[in-house]
Amino acid sequence: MNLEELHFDNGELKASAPPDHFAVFGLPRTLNLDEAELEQDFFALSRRFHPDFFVTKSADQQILSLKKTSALNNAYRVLKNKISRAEYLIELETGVAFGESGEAKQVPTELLSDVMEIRERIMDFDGEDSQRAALQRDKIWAQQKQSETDTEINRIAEGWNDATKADLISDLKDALSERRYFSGLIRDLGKASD
Amino acid sequence: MAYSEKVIDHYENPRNVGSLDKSDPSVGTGLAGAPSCGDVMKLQIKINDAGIIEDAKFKTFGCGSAIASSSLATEWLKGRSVEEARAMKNTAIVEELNLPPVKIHCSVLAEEAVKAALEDYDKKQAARAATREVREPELVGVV
Repeated sequence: MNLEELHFDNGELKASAPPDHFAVFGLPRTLNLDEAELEQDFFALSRRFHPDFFVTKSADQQILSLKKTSALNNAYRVLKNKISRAEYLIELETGVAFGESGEAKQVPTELLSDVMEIRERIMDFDGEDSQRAALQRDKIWAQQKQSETDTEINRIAEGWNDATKADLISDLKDALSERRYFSGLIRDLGKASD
Repeated sequence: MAYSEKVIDHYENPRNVGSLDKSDPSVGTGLAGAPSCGDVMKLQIKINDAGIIEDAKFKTFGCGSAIASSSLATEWLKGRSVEEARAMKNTAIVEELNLPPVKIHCSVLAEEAVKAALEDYDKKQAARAATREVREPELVGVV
């Protein structure tokens, strides 16, 4: 353990929380970031801290290089994609992982009944051509809806800053919740009808 | 995370899977969705003139706990009165199935589906009563 990671809390020595994924890259917590730039930073930092460069160093140095490399990998995996980045940001801002809050946030009933109907069609599918055609239409519909939520997420990302985030977080949660329905449908429609 | 034996039992042998006629005025249909996990649940109840739930069916597309919660709910609902159904709480499902904290929202989903089904039934009954009120004077006129 690095000594800088320890601090006193009410007279007790405690390990401080590891830096968040944004801090690993020296970035502010934001939705909108340049993914190409992030990739370049990831490669550059991974090279600089690669354990291969530390084989002749002390055991402590070797451990730190491993830890840094693993933190970089974890951070990059979450941040490189806008959806996982958005979900992570919600966890940072609210302290609760997206999807585990169990809050009674309602998705519109109309959307639920559309999803239910498509789920029933997937379940009833037994290889018939007309059913397959219906599933393919459903898939196009779901892709269309998913791209609408992506547009909405982009809109939120563009307006996202420290002053607006408190207001935008619930819009972002709604958009991400709806998007999960569509991405789940696209996945299962593909499995059933392709 | 390990599922309890009861969850596995309901998941492997779900009770009352299926659909009732949603256009039937004595049938209430409730839909509920789990925010942020893409689950969707449909729960239907058929209520007789005495206010007793004669039949209950569900279809759930979601995780094992969501399926078990809705399966248990339909089993519990059958033979109960509408009033008892209105008082149903998700905590009873949590206890019966021994759900861990991360799966409590599955039982909430089942409770919401039951509430939505009752609301749908109430709406249908109100609409029925309203048409009766409109028709009655006409009937008097005919007689």
